[in-house]
Order: sequence, then C-alpha cells, then structure tokens
Amino acid sequence: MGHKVEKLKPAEKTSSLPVLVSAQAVTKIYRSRHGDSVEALAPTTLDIREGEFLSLIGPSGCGKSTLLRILSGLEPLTGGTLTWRDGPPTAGSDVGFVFQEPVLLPWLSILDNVRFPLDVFRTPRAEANERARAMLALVGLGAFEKSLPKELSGGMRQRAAIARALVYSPRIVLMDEPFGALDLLTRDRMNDELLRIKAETGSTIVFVTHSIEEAAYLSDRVAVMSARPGRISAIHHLDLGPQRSEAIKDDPRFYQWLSTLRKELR
Amino acid sequence: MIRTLLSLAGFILAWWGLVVLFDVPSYLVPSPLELAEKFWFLTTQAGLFGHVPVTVMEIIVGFVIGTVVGVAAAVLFTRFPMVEVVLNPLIIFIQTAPKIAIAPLLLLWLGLGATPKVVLVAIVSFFPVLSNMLSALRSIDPNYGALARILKMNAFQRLWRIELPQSLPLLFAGMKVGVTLAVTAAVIGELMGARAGLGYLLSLGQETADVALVLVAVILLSLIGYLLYVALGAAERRLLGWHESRASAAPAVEG
Repeated sequence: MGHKVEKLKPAEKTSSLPVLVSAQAVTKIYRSRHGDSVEALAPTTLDIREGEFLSLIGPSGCGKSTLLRILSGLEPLTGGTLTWRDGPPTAGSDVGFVFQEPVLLPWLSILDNVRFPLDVFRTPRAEANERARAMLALVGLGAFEKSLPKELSGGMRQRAAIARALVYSPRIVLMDEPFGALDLLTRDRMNDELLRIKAETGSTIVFVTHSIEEAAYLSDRVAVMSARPGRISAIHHLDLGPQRSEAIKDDPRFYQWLSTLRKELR
Repeated sequence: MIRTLLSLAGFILAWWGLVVLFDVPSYLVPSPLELAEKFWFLTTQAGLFGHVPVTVMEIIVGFVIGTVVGVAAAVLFTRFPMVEVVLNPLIIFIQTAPKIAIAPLLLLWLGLGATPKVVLVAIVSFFPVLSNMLSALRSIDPNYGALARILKMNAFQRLWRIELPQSLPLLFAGMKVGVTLAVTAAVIGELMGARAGLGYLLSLGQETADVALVLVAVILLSLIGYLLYVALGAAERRLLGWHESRASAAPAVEG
C-alpha cells in the first residue's frame, strides 16, 4: 500500500486502512443488586483500523474506559457484536493493555517484567530475552534492565509497562489513560515517546484520555464521547499529518482542533 | 551482634550480683554458674540433647503443616467463596476456643507421642497464616487480575506468578506470629502429657522442685523460638528485597 497511502490526505489515509475490529451497536448495562440498571454504554458503533491511533475522549462516566475494556475482552458486552478481521482474540498475545498505573510486578527486574508475558506464553528464554531487550531499548530503558520497579521514576515505570504491552506484538494495544498519573512535563515527553514507538512498531493503538491536547497531539482519529448514557457523539479525522512533533503544537490547525474538541466536550 | 552479646553479658552479671548480694538460696534462684553446671550435667549425664530435637521437630513439622494448610485454605476461600461461607463459622469457632482447651482432647485421641503436639502446633500456627494470607490475597490491586486476564493466564500461573509473590510480605507477618505461638503450643502439649521434650523436662522440674532444670528448659525454649524467628526474618529479607518496606533507593533518574 506504501506509495499510494503517501499521496492521500491523512483523513482519507486512515479510512483506506483495513478494519481490524468492528464494534456494532455494542452496549453495556450494569444491573445493581436492587434490579436497577445503569446504561454505561448506549449502542455504540465504531470501526478500528489497522495501524491507526484512535483516542477516546470524554468526561468521567462517558463509557470510554468501558468501551476500551469491552474491546480488551475484560468486560463482557451486554448487546451488539464485536467482529475481528482475523477472528476474535483467542490467545493472550492478541491484546496489549496499558493501565493508568504501571501494574508492574515489584519483585521482578525491569527486564523480567517486560519479558513476563513471553514467560507466560512459554516463549523460549533466549528469544524472550532478546525481544524484551529490544523492547526496552525501544522505550529508552536499555540501561535499567536490572533495576527493580521501585528504583525507577513514574514515567520510567510507565515506559516499562508500555514495553510489556508491546513485547508480544499484539494485534491491538489498548491504553487506559496511561499518562494520567504523571506530571505534565513527563506526560509531554511520554507523548513524544509514544509517537516514536508507534512509528517504529506500526501498532494499532486505542487510547483513552481526558486531555484534549493529548488526544489531538497523538491521534489520527478522535472519538468524542458524552455521558448519561455513555456514547460516541462525534468522530474526527485529524488532518495534522502522520508525522507529529512539537512543531505541530504551533500549527493553527492544531489550535482549531483543540477548540473544536473543547466545544464538543462542553 | 556485639550489642546483643553485651546486653546478655550485662544481664548475666546483674543476675549473678543479685544472687550473691542477697544470698538467694540456689533451690529458689541458682546462680549462672550453678545453672551452667546443671546444663553440663543434663547434657552429659541426662540426655538433654535427646529432648531438644523432640520439641524442635514438633514445632517445625506442626508449623510447616499449619502454614501450608493456612495458605491453601486462603487460596481456596478466595477462589470459591462458597467454601468460606460454609467453613468460616467453624473456623471462627475453633479460632476463638482457647487452644489449651483442645490439648487434652488431642492427647486423649492421639496418645502421648509427638502427634498430638504436632497437631496442636499446626492448629495454632494455621490461624495467623490464614487470616494474613486472606487479607493479602484480597488486597491485591484488581489491575493485576485484569493483567492476568489480558494475558489469559490460567489459575495456577496467576497463583504462582502473581498472587503468591504479592502476598509474601503479609504471609511472613503471619508466619512470624505463628512461629511464636507454635513454640507455646508445643510446650503446652508436652506439659499435659509427654515422655520426652522440653515441656516434659519443665513438668519434671516442677514436680521435683528443680528450679535449675526448669530454667534450663525455659532458656532453651526461648532460644528455639528466637532462632526460628531469626531464620524467618532472614528468609524474609532474602525474598522481600523488592518490597516497599525494604525500600532504600529513591527513583534513580527522572524520565
């Protein structure tokens, strides 16, 4: 697809990619003990395309995390269908998930943590070590493979968590406010890291955030969600080009998108 | 280590001084020297070192059984809440019953050998392990469960690779309580009826008004309890270097 994609505008480029997973009218209804039901997610339809960076953005209670957890298989859906291009995920290695907290295993070194999924999948040790080291180098933690999680800063721990989610090359990487607990400066740096990692791995990423700027800076597409009941109120293709960098933050189009998204979230 | 030895030496000197100063008769409080002589006599003439391993084995075997069963029960309870609903009243009932009251029953059922002591030790060390392990398993961040489900880990992998290591700090706290109770339980069992062991020597010393014998047994029991506690502490330090409670390093680098 190479050269053809290059000529297209970013918006068209995204829509020309094959659909990886298609959510058709998926809903999530929680029933309380007293029989009341809460509609966490109203019927929602969304196609996620191979290799795109899609953000889900919205206020608390808009169902963005619920939608992400449905995609991950952590949350069973109460209605609708989820169709995967190559069949539903069967092995654990199909989905990568990054939580708001690093959720590292504190007794394992950073290398062992990143290799952890491969150990669970019984990948031969030599190959597993090689892949984990390559992933650590990719996230800039090559020098810290022997460190324990408690010896690293919050940003570094979150990089290790990202490396762990990517180490088995999952079909899709789901991130639930992965930088929400970091300070602003670290968060900016992590955003640039994530763009670089995305460019190098070509992963499909669905990213939940409630930062408008983060969503606009990172995403090919942004799904704006609203609450009560949780639903997608708009989906935007951002025409900011596939190559993002700090410079984009001075681009008038970037400001245009920030203000558009901000208005929609009001 | 030096400080421990110094405080021990100070204690012995004070003891000796008081015995000499107030001219305490040795059938009430023997001097350290008399006690050492008694110890030497017991070791060389009366087979003291046949009694020590009896008690030590009862403590260790009972403690290991109590710990393993406690951990297994906690895992079962968290996996199958119904098991806990059914068993919990019974467990609370046994737990609140004074364990000394169970000892005569065990002796009646299991005889005068080591078995009833092992069972009693297992019962008393079971409870602190169970309750600590239960709160450890229940306080694991649900995100770890989500991680396990994302990676489609099976129950054994979850237990071995996530839950057990995560529970170690609290498990060790429970084991440390359990091991001190274990020493007491072994002695109680032996006091009530035994043919060997340090508790047997205690009751023998009491019946023959042999204060030195009682003191030797008490000192040896304290020493056993202390050494077991120290061994657990060493294992804990070795296994829990990663834990926050042992944190020494601040974040190395920002980034």
